[in-house]
Amino acid sequence: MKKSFKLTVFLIPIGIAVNFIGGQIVLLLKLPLYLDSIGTIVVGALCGGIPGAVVGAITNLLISITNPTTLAYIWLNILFGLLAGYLGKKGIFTSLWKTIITSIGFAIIGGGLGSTITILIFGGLGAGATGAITGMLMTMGFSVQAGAFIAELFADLLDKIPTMIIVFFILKSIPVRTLVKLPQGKLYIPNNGKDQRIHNI
Amino acid sequence: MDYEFIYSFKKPQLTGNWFLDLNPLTKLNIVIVIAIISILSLSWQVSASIIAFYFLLAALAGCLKRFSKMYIKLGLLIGSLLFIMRAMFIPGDHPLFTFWLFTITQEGIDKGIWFSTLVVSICGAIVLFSTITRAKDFMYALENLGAPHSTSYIILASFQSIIDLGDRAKLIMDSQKARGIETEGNLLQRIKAFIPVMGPLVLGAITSTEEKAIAMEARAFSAPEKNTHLSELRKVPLWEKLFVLLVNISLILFIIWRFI
Repeated sequence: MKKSFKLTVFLIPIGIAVNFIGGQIVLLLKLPLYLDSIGTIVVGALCGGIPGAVVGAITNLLISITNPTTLAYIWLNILFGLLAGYLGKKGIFTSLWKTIITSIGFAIIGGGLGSTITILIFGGLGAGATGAITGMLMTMGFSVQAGAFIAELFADLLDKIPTMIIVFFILKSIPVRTLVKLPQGKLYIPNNGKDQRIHNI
Repeated sequence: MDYEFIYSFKKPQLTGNWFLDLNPLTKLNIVIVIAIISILSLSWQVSASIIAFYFLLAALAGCLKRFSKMYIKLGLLIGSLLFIMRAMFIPGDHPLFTFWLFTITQEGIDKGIWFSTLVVSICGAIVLFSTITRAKDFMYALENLGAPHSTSYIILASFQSIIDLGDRAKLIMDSQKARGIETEGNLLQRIKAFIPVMGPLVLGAITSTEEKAIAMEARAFSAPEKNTHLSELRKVPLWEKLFVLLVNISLILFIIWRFI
């Protein structure tokens, strides 16, 4: 137990860097997505909710150095980490279909809570593309809340489905010798960790 | 010889600039006070003068160029976006002119100016703090307050990991291109290219943590003893304590003047 805690400390910076680089590769490939919470969800799934939340929070703090408006959305990343830890514990991420369905949960946090924060702090009109969509929906007769909610939920679902598919394949491909040393890693070993060979590694 | 360099670690490493040499927590205190004043003032004039004041502080610290390079770009982008959104979409009783679907109102313009200067001034506090404070000094100051040293490792290692993984990502991308993976073309092709870059990157990084953990343990990372530090922070002089006290008292006086 002690040993796995130590590996967690070293995995957190990796998760943060993966979040960053994910966002950068998206820019390089010119994709209309964010894909910037892969590290948070992977660390949450492997090490538990608290380390996942720590990854999310620190990623957000570091991004806020160059774009301080993102600081308002720190709760989203914390909740992503906690939810990933909880779902990981339940063994959801071992099946591709269940993993894809969880993207609805992440999108509700990202879209629902995200739009609430946008309304509370930026009056519904954030500085970004979804802000423009919200504004358009408002002129079409939707209320601020409904407009922001629809715009952000839609954008988030489009982002979280590919994120979860990538997370599933990453978790599936981590070698057993690394998994056994992580707090929730045993859940991802085939045969539910009861394989006799593991004890010989 | 290099003795001068070696002995420089026996003293706190100062830059000679009085503002840069302030304790990281003093600087944090100052920028938080400035941000609070901007929030409470509820007027765009105050926020705008605070934005100008940041440039003065940055010049005082001798990093005007670095600060303005980052801040002007950010401020123009965020400020103009927030302003345009409000100017276009906020309804009001004093329409100025109408085009296509949008009616520009006096209320929208007023709110837009106030809100965009407010957000840009709060952003400025964060950008200024990050330009005038080295991350390692700030983490050391937090450790002195009682934060565990693993938090310093996590933050400082993250900065390094971002640089390292960024280089690796470029390397993997070039290798995958050489192998024939299309990174340009239509949207689906580009989404497909994401996985062969991200997959090896994350897996490699996760498996390498074990080596990193062993390397750090060999240097007594989780030893229960108190850590020693290579560079020291200056002991906070009396004038600096008085200065912080003065800044905080002036904030309290401002709040009293504003609301009572």
